[in-house]
Amino acid sequence: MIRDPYQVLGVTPQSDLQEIRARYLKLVHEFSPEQHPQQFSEIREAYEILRDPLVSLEKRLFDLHLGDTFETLVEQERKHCNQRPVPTDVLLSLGEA
Amino acid sequence: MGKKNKRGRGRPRVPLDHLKIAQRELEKRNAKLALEHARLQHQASASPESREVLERALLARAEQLFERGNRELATELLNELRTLGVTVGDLESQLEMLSVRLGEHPRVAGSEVSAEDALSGPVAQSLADEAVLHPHRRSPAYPQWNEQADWVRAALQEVEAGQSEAAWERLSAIPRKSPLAEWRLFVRGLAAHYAGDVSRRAANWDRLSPERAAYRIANHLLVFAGQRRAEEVGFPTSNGQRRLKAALSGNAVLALLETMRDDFRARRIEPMLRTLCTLRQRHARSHAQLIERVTDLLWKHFVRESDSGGLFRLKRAVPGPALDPRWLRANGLLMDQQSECNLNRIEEVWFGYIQDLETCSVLGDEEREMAIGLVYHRLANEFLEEVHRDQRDPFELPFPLGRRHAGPDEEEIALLAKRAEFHLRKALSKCPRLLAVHRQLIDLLRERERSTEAVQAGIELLQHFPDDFDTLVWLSNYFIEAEQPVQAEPYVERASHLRPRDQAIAGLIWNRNLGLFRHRVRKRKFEEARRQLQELASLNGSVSGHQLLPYAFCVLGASLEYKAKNDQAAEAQLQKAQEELEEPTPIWLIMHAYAERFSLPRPLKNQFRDRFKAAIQGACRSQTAGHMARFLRGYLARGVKYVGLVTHQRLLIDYLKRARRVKWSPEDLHDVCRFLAESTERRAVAVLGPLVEAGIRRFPDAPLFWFLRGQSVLGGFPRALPFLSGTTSDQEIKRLEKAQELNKRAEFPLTASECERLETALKTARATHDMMSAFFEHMSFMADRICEDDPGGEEDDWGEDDDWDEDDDWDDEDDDWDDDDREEELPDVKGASAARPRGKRRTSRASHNRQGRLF
Repeated sequence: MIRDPYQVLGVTPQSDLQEIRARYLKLVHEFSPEQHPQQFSEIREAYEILRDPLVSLEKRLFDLHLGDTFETLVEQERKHCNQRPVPTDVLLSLGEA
Repeated sequence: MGKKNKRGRGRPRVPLDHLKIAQRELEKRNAKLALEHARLQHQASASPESREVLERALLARAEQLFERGNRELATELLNELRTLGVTVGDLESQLEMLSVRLGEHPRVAGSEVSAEDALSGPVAQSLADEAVLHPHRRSPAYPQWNEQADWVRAALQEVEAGQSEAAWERLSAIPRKSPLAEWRLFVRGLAAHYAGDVSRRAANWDRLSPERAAYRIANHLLVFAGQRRAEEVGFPTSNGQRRLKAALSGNAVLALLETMRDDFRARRIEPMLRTLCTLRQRHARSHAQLIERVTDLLWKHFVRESDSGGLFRLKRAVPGPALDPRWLRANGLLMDQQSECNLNRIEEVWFGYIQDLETCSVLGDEEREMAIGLVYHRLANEFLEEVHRDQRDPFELPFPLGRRHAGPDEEEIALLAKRAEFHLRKALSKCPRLLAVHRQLIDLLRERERSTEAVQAGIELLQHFPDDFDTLVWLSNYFIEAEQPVQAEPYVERASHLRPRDQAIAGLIWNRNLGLFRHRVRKRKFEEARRQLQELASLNGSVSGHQLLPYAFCVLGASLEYKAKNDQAAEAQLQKAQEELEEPTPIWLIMHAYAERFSLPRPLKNQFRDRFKAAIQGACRSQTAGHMARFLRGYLARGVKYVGLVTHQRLLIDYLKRARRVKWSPEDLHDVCRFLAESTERRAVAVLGPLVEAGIRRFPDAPLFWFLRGQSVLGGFPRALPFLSGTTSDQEIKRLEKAQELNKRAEFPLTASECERLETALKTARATHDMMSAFFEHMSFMADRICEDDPGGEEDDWGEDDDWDEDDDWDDEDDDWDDDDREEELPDVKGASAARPRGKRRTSRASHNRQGRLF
């Protein structure tokens, strides 16, 4: 299952090509092919899809293998949950020795 | 006597050990009780031990009272301790700390030393942290720290509210030397943590001091996020984790998602959809995107699995996705997945989806047009697939091994092609940037022999994709073959400019020059034609596959001179050509063809026709056959026709039929076999067989003959025959594999298109063989069962199966190639796929029995 290219690059379908390219360059810089070969190829693949609006649209419309799995959704939701701001009073209570 | 006295009498009274009790209570952090007992002990018998316990108890009780907000009593106890005097070393710093917390300034040794500097580092840090963590315990002695602590708390609340910029601005006022400066690192790291910026978080949090409260908070968060293990942090985390979990446990969405995931894994569709409904009912506003993604995931899953029931239930549970509000796209894709489909129904569904797209607000205007174009393209592909079903699956087996319905007939194909063309044109009208659609339209029009429209489609393609090399080459060749070399000129120029070193360009330029020569001859521009001929002569041999032998140049020259009415020069050229060959038959053939193509006078046409007809009655020779086959094959391969081509083919095939004891050269035999394989004449197949066998015998290392042998067996059957007779044995596969192997080091290798056909034939042969083996195994098993059930019934019929020997069958078949009588029984199969004989064994009783049993 290929992950949603928009999610891989962290952009939205409304993002223009310039934004997509900027995000791609940032990610490629962060995930170099030597250190993160899997992430790099995923990012590259996603960019190849999104850089051509026709291919991208065709994938969005008809590709049955493109998209999320429950595992990725749960993982993302959990991550989102973990990154949700902790109330300040709870946060400060953690500082007790 | 009361119980009390009785008990007292029973057990002798033991004096309390106040010291031990005080120590125990101190350990239990029960400071009040510890102090009572420590005082009693110290009053009863003062000792250094009792004094230490009393000091500790006094300090512990004072701290306890301070933490509970009773500053007065805490100060009293602190003064009592000071009066008593501190003898225990480690209590001094605690005493200092508490006195500062109670608002007393530390004792300053020099007047220059500030109050802050007078404090030791750990005490100052501890005070600063406490000012942040517990505002009510702040020391009034350091109002500046208290103010900074307020900033830190405010900054933390701003980060919580997502206003990180404001938080940083606020914290920038904290001096670098302040013990609260550590909190600046913490707040920056916290904002990065919430933003998922790992590197920035590490850059800040990795600098935190392990003794500080900020370090503890940061590590609690890291452990909770699963980014650090609890054992690594160096302090107990369980309480903190519990608090975090309690604070963030309001995530019901995550719980619902996890439930759905588990149900999905266990294929519990109904409960999963119920959970989806719950998710939608409770969180539709806050998690609309997530619900859309779950819906997307599910419909794609059901379509992939061809689970129409699952899709139906999903449709009832949730509304359609934004891109497919009426679920028509899902329906259309589901139909694609299913083998049995009704094209009209598919068309209806996709038309409906196009209507949905026209009003779809998720897509922009340009995207909408593109999407509609893509849907039309998809629809066109459905029809094209049906049009090409015969080509796609030439060895398709009949039902039940193959599909239930037969392929479409010619009339149906024409209708399907028309619908496909309609959809392709609609796709292009909506989105002209669909290169694949342009190409498919050109291919379809060419297949339907609508060359003019195909050319127009090619020109339209070039308007949108001016650098499409393949189309440029195709158009160039088209115009050259159509004797319109002038029209071809711009396309040749463009193509050669794009890829000057491409082999196709060299061939194109050669063909263009040849075309220009013919064009100029026909237009009676004889001088220019002569110059063109010289140019061709200079290029001759420079392009592989495009070479004219000297006699062919002479024939071209003769045609030119005849057209220019220089009969004498023409005769001289023909004389020169005849000197190059063993016999003149190929010259008369070519001259007759050129007489037609260059529109020479009728008497000349008749003269060469008669000469050719007379000459070809003679005995067959390798060189003559090779030259003629080479010439005619050129026309067949390019699909160029001229008046007399069919007759020429027929006469050459008759000539080759007499080739019984010819001493073939390998080049000539290759050309002859290739001509016969490409010939549209039905008798070519019969002639090809013996020649291929001769090729295998005489040139066993040449892959072409093995390939034609293997391919002819496969392609020669009528569609249903392999099924009926259970053929496609290992032998054919072995022959094709041998051709493939020999081709790697062959002196006369296969052409690119032959290699491609070889690959396809091998693939088909293997697939068919596997399928047939499985089928016959199954039939044999069924027969055994039937025999067991009804031993007297049809035992004899099935008994013959045991005698059926596949290998014997094939051995006999090999002999068929040398048997002229059998060749007459060959099926009428056209084309290069050639034919194989329908041996009598092949329709043997055993085979019939299988058929009879099955149906």
